[in-house]
Amino acid sequence: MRNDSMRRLWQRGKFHLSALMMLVPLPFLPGYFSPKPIFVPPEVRRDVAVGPFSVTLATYDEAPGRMPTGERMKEYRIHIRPADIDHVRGVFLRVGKPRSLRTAGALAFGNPYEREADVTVPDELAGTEELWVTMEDWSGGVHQASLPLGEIFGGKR
Amino acid sequence: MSVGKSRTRLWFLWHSWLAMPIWAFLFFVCLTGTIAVVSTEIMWLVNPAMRASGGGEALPPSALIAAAEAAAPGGRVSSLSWGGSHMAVSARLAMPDGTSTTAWVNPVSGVVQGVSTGNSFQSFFRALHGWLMTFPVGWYLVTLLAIPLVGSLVTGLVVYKRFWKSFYQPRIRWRQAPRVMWGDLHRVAGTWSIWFIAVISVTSLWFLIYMMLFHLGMGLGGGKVPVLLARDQIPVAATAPKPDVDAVLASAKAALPDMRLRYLWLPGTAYDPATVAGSSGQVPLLPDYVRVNPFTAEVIIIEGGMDAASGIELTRTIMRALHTGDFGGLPVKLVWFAFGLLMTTLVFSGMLIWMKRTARATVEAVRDVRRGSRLAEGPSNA
Repeated sequence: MRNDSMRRLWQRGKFHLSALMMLVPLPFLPGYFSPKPIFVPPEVRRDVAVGPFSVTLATYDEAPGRMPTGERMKEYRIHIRPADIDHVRGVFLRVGKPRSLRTAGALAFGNPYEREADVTVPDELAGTEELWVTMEDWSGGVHQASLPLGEIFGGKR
Repeated sequence: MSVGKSRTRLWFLWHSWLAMPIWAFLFFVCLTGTIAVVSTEIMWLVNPAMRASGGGEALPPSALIAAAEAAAPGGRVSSLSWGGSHMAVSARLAMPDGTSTTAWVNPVSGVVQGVSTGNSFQSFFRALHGWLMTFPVGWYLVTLLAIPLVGSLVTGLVVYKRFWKSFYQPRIRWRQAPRVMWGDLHRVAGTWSIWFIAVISVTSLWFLIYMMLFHLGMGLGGGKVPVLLARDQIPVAATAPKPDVDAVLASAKAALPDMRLRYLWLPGTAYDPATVAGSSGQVPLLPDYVRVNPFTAEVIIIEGGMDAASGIELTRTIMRALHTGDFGGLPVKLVWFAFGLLMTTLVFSGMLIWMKRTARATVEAVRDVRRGSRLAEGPSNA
């Protein structure tokens, strides 16, 4: 008897099951409307002094993503002190020492307090690579600093 | 039973079954899409800060930027967006904590009427409708619906002989049994929405194909090489020079005199140009982008429109505009909204009809087809 009514419920109800798709966005609702993400993936942060500027580099503790073009990319955020934002003309990030200002690497863009840069990462890493930060100020000065890439890479390698 | 008749019946079964297993999902996507079409207008009704009516001399962008930055301490305006004659200008600000904020500025008085943080209602509905807020899985789930949609349209046209009669003799028997009424409504609404369903399913298929190619590493390209300023074009100064946005806008307007202004983007880096976007009226689907040197206010290049766009870029812009109905102002949006509601009704009425009829018809047809095929092929099918 009970089996019968269960079966009838299933017969009638199975075609409405696709309504369950509406549950998919539910977990993302609270995060969507809050200005800061609620579930922030763990971050790796390093403070670096680049000439007169002290900045904080941050990246998610995740392996680099692969672009459709096949390149490996890692996203970095560069926090700049509020007092400095009008003095910084450009921030460039590159794996390996740039040979000149023309090859300084990925130009950071966006929010002047927290610029972001997508840095190309080589497929094979020897473990001795360095991440170079090149900063230009508005008077034409160029400042550089580097740190071991392994310190600010994240993810399992 | 004649072969022709049973073939029609098979088409009919296809029509009945295509959307049924997923009807609730399709219904949800149709409904959220319909709301997304007019989400800006809904917010305009709900949020008084977005409204700005009445005439008067419009303030220059520099005044709007100054007002917005004064209302959000530490914020730096990254873009201005002009919505229309009854809308406040929305100023997007980058905040010191890395988030962004929107300030609604009255274009005539310069009063900041409201400040809202986080994502807007509009982008929420777009994310809900377009990818269930789960990118890219949701994008595929939603765009795959284009296939049953095309199928329903084609099979519906095959099954509903003389559908064009619904254009000049629409008949809905409101007083009859609900099954009859829903059936009539389904046929009339379906006939009147043929063009709309075709537009929506073709554009959705495009979104599906576009994303597939992108993920397969065969991006369609067509994106232009970004316009950048050379290092020697950037002035040397003690601190960052403020771009003269009023001069930037004036040169853009001089370059495209009949342009209806939509956006002003400030440079994202010291090497980026400022961009003024608007529709110039000659090609309503295709906006123009005027890239301007922020330091000298010289126009570097005008992109967009018919001439400058590549085929892919043109397709992308047109497909998006056709899908959202956002190309001819409020009248077009209202048409898209009305037909979106009609399409949502089609999904719902289809489900009701199915529940009341098709289950039984399928059992019969399957039996008939089995019997028929046995009669036709029986002896030779050894």
